Amino acid sequence: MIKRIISFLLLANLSVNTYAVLDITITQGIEEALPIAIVPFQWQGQPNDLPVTMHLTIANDLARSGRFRTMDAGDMPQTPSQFNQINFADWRLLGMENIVIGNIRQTGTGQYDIEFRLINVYSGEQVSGFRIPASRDQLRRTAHRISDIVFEKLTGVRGAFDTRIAYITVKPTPDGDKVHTLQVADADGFNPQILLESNEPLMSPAWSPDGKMIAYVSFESRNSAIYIQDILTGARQMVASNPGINSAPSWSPDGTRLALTLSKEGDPEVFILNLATRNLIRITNNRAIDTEPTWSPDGSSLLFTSDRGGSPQIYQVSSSGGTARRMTFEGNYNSRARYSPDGSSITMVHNNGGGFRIATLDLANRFVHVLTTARLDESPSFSPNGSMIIYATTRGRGTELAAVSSDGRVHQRLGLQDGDVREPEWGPFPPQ
Amino acid sequence: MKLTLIKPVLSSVALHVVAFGMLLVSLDFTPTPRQPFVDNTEIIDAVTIDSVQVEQELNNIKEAEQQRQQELAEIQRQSEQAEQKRQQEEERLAAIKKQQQQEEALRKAEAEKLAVIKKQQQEEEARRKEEERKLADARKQQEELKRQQEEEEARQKAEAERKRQEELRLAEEARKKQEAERLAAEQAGQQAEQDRQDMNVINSYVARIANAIEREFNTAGLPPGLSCIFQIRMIPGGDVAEARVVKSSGNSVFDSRAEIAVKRASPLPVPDNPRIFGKMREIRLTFAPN
Repeated sequence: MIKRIISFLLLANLSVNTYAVLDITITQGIEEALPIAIVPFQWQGQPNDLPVTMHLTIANDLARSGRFRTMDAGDMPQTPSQFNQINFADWRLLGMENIVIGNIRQTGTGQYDIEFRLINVYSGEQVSGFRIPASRDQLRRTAHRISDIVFEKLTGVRGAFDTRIAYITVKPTPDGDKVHTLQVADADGFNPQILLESNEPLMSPAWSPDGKMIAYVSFESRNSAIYIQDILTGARQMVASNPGINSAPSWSPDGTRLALTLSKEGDPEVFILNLATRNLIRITNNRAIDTEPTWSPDGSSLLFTSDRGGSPQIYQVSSSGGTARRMTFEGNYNSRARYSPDGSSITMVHNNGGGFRIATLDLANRFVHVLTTARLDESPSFSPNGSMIIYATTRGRGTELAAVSSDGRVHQRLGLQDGDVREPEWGPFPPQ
Repeated sequence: MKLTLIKPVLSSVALHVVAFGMLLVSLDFTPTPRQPFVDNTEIIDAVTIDSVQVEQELNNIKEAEQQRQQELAEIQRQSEQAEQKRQQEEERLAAIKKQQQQEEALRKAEAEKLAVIKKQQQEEEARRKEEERKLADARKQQEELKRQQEEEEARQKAEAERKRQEELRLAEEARKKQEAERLAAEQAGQQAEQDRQDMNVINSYVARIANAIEREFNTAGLPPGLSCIFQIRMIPGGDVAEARVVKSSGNSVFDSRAEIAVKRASPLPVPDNPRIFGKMREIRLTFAPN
């Protein structure tokens, strides 16, 4: 404010008689969700003919991110589907900054063209517009792709709606047993697909960097073992089955190695397994429990959980081994760390006496930001664009998935599954 | 000078005193004629023894004798008296002569004295005149001095007056000059003063405009350190007629948020006064959030 006035006065002195252009500096702004209206896409057929309501899927995506405030269709002053139908004054009057209009046209049996335009209401210009051909099965994913485009155009950050999550479900069977499944779904929880079903526990799904493989822990052979499985083909192979614990696999960014926890030498320690050579390198060597390794985005170091200090805390160690450095000091419990995609922060389960909650630790200023308020939250995982965190939360007698924007502003439960849903892991961007 | 004048006066006085003393002595010693001695004691007795006739006869004889005696005595006395008278006359004449002489001397002395006195008087007169002259001179001098003093006073007074007048004139000149300068400055400064007042008004709107835009400038999710510059043009009433990017931040989302902020904030708060509005209808907006 002061700076602004000073700069103005300086200019004013020079401009008394010349009436030079007034100089004003905007030094602050607000941080609010961007208002946007996703106008129902024009469709000549019956509404129920389509498996996806495009504008709702897009609006839900954008709202879930915490970055957008979407307008209900019933509040819209008009529902244009073409640029020249837009009455900009009406939208401006409502403070609407951007609108998305579109139409769906059937081009053949089970084939569609989806056309959409992102319009800046205040400039009256089209920001972006595409026609996307899609099969009936691809309509939902097409909606996510449109969400991604809108998100990137208006926030400058690549959208992560057209991504998937992996997670474990546990469901009791009528005969008293439990069914454990490894599933993959769209990032909004829709379109779940079972990759593996087992009567024995499944744990710790981990995405390969290319999004084609998932590593996980299975107790199908009574002892824990680590498998990797091709998502498309379902082909799987066991990569670690050592005496004692085999757990917590994590893919290296280059996809060639797995970090994991083994107790074959006594107590749980972090190792790195070369997938091609099956060579194992021990990274930690401490009589306490060292587990839950995760790679830094550049692959140079690992975070892991250790109780070597008396309580579980996050430590960092070089991916070639060496001395570990404690990272967390706030709270009596910090575990299961995951890096943000840009490496600037980590998310973890944090307990400072009020419960197990999802928090982020800013690595630059060491500020811990607790994002959730439930009693027992677990397994946080960043979206590949870093804008959201998915996690599991306890509800009633079970657990379900929930998402929170990484600034903690927007919370959403993804209550789509029956039974317990655990250990969600957000997959990478799809190949562009 | 005075001493020499006084001495002759004293000596002449002394001389007069001596002369007077001599005159008195001579008068006291003038000779007086004496009575002849007569014894009457026996005759008286005789009468007493004889009878009144005898006595009468005797008285007659005696009286005839006495008569004769008396005549003789008378003649004697007359002759003596004549003699005495002649002597007296002589004496008187001598006395007169002497007196005359004395008188002459006295007269002379008197004359001398008078001369002295006259001289003295003359001297006195001269002295008095001199004195008067001196007095006159002194008076004249004094008058001259007084005149000079008065002249000097008058001159000084005139000079003071002249100075006072000069000072008044200078003061008046200075005042007039100041007044003229003030008027000139006032006239010349009217525009500047108006500009200054306008700037005060504009300044108050700068903050309001900035606040209005800041309320609409959504920086959520934007990377830090970006800045861009817009130039906007308003129409009366504050509606933003034009907003163009002068310098892009390099981030199209940032630029777009800035532009939307301007347009959402439109109409911006502007003064009604057309003159003042005219000075601020063009604004260079720098978006540089902290």
